[in-house]
Amino acid sequence: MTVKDLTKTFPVRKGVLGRAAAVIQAVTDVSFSIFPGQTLGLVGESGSGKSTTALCVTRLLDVTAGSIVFDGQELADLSRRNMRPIRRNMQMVFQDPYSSLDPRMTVKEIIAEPLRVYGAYGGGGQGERKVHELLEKVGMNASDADRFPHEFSGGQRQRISIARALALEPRLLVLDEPVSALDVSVQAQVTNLLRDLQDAMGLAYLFIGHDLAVVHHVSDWIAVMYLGRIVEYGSADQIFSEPTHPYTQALLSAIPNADPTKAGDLDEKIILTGEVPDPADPPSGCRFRTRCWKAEPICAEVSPELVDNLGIGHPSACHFPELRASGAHQ
Amino acid sequence: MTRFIVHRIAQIIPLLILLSVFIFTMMHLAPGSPESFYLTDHYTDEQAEAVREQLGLNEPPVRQYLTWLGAALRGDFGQTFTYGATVTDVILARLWPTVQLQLLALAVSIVIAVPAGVVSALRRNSRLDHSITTATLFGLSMPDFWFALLLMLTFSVHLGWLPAFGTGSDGLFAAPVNLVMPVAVLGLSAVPWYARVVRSSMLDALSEDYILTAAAKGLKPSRITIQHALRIAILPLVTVIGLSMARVLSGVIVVETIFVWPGLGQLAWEGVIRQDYPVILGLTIFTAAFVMIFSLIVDILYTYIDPRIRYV
Amino acid sequence: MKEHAVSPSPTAEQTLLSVRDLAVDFELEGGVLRAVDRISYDVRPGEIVGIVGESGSGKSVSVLAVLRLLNVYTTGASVTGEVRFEGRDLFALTAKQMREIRGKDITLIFQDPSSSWHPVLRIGRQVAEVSVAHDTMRPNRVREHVEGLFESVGIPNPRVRYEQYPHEYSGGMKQRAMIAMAIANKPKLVIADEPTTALDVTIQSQVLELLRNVTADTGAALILISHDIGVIAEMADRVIVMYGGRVMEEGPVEQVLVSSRHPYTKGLLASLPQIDKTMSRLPTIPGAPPQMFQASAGCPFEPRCGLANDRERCREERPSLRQCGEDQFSACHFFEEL
Repeated sequence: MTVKDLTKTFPVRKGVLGRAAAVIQAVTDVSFSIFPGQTLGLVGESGSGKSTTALCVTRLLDVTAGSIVFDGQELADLSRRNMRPIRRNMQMVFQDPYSSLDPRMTVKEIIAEPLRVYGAYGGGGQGERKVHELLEKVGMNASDADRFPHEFSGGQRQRISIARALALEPRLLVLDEPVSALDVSVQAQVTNLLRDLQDAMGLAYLFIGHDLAVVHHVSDWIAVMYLGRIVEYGSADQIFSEPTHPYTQALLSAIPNADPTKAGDLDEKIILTGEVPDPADPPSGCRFRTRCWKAEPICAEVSPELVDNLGIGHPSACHFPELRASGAHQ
Repeated sequence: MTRFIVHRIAQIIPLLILLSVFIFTMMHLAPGSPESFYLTDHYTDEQAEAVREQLGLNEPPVRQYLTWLGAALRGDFGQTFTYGATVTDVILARLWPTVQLQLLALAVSIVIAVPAGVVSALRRNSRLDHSITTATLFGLSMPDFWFALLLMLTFSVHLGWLPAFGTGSDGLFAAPVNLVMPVAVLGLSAVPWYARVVRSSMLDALSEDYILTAAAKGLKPSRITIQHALRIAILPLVTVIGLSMARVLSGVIVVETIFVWPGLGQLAWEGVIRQDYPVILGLTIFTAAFVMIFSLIVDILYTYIDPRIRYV
Repeated sequence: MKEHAVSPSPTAEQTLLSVRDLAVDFELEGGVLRAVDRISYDVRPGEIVGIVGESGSGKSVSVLAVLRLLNVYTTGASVTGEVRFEGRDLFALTAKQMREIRGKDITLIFQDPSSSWHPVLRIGRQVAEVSVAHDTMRPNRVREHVEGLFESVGIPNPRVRYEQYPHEYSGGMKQRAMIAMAIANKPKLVIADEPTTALDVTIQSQVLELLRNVTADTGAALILISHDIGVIAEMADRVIVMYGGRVMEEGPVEQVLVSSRHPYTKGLLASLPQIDKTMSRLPTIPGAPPQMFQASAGCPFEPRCGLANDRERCREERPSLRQCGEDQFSACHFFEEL
């Protein structure tokens, strides 16, 4: 999948007649590529537009501008009807395993639903075998098929969601914070499962998260988003070992380190001032400048391009990019 | 906010016109004829025709309606058939006794229902809660007219303590002894509704995180209950009171008729019995306008008691 | 055999808060749920104690029980054990005496800034209320005091902010105001229950730094509850690891998180993705944390434990907290094998 200059705006309705008084640019000029068998991690805080991006690439939201090419086909302006056959090739897994599974359906019905919708269930026990296979693939037992979601823990429910997403043998999985709601000791089980499935099936992942350590662990490529724009884009190791955008650097430094011997030097921590501005009224020029310690007058005037100014192999959208070894490597 | 108010008021007029069309049609479809009020048992066709002519009833219905509408839009709701005065004058004369009755009834119902609901919620599943629940259920299932007759039988007929009907006064205010029974019937009939709303919204409020915050601050239970929980629990009650005002006229018809209270309820009853078209129409429009304006006031009031609500 | 948790006990005068054998049972329709199972710990003046645990570990319930807040408006919780604050037995105080401690000597900061504020009262008034209730400020000076607190916790425009309602505050600002409220009466102990879990990472750093600074400035001790070991590692002096309603391990942060002597802590640490290490697979703890549990006879972690090896002792005998290092304690029968 290749996404180019994706933009999504939401109108802010005002007044009794619902005239669009302003627009929120939720996502602006976002471009990235996802390769088969690899994972692109999308990282950002609330308001960064990462979830909107996910909904746009799966066309659960309409796209305002830009192009989304999946398997050589342009999706951005495809009608709902023409989207249908494509949708079976890209499935979503959501954050909350408690609300995303219908409590009145058995596990079997949940997993079989996409198969039935696409007429792929098959008679003569074929569909049933398929459901059992899927359950085993995600590390559960075939005997769980007749139970209900509430009988399972959060981690197991997320496995069920993944089995449902895999039912149609998609090529791309969009994972929207799939482990954020899980207990720490269970998160690793699910990330391992995702990795095993990717290796076995050659799946591509778009992994959305706010926990940088988790995103780093599962991703091959990472795009860091801030207020609707990608501010830095590179391989997972480049982003973590050679971040050049001040926001990425701050984000990395903000991760609390579980190893107290490394967490010691708190004065080294970059603590950003202020909060993320209102997306309906973003700052001019560089959107990060209001919280950036390096901001100069040019930052208010010119929005920086996402380019590799330092020539180190990955681009960042900053007028003054510089290498700063991230805390973890000191 | 101003735009919101202007917009809401602008919506009222077309709604009222629609309503008047409906009422007008219904009146003309109903059996019986208004002229019979003026005629003796034995009347000639000419006499009947003359009365119809006088009352403007011999015109085609559509024309009658348009004439009425034209005048109504200028604020003139016409002459009553049977009261010898304009509709506006008749309604205004009957307004104050009803307002007096309703305001007192509202006060009574709030004063009883709020504490009952709060206590019920605080002592949830206690004997007190169960007795309040039983009492409200009893109140809910007792028809107004039955309760009114029971009161009248007890306090007027048997004990002779309270006058059975009338306002007992020629002045501005009705005599207190005359108010007791009608206010009791109207007020108490609303208590069950209000008390149940307060109980359930108090229970919701008490389970909120901010109540725990308040307790962790070391506040007294009375302060937590009143300043924190009740402050929120009162919001649904305002909504319910606003909604119940829509039924205001139907409530007073029964009570005013039984207690011979010279208010709008009694007027509505008389108007229907006498088939006094202009009175029925005028009163319907007046009540409808009142309900709409009252609900607008409730909405505006909301922005004061709940700052999260803003109209644009 | 009745087993008593032997607890690390510094001398009484060094202890600000001492919790002994605290147990919380909830009476549910299906039976009794033991949420906190006889835990003991101490907090010394001015120190930061981290309590780390996953959902259902009993970490939040235990601090609510300490402040006797479990039965405020719910019923069916029964609390046993002993809690002493500055030597006073909190469970023996009258309701009025207890109220005088809450919000003054011991204050709470809650997790969810969106639901912990009363939605239709002005933030300034809600903060002011805590000073008025404890008579620590003359009413005519309260507003000035609160605006000063806002200033000190980094809320810009205190005058304007005082008048605003919670929905006009961002999550981070609400949490700053919550901290202002927590320090309004110069408490001796602040308890923060997952104070940054609902916040973005960059805001989390701001709030944690503030929390560290204000407690250092006022000399208050801090109990910081979190599921995030990273947060505990950066903030706390000592850490208590809870699982299944019990204390699994306790000790100085540098010891417990670097050389843990309990299989649960070790497993938890190993399962965290490290940003400076690339591994294709993370070591995991099999299974899931217990959702509902009866007071188990043995160790609650036994079903998921790699060390238990189906040994009868782990299933049958409750492990007590035993000293396993200088000031470090582990509730594992076999920590010597680690």
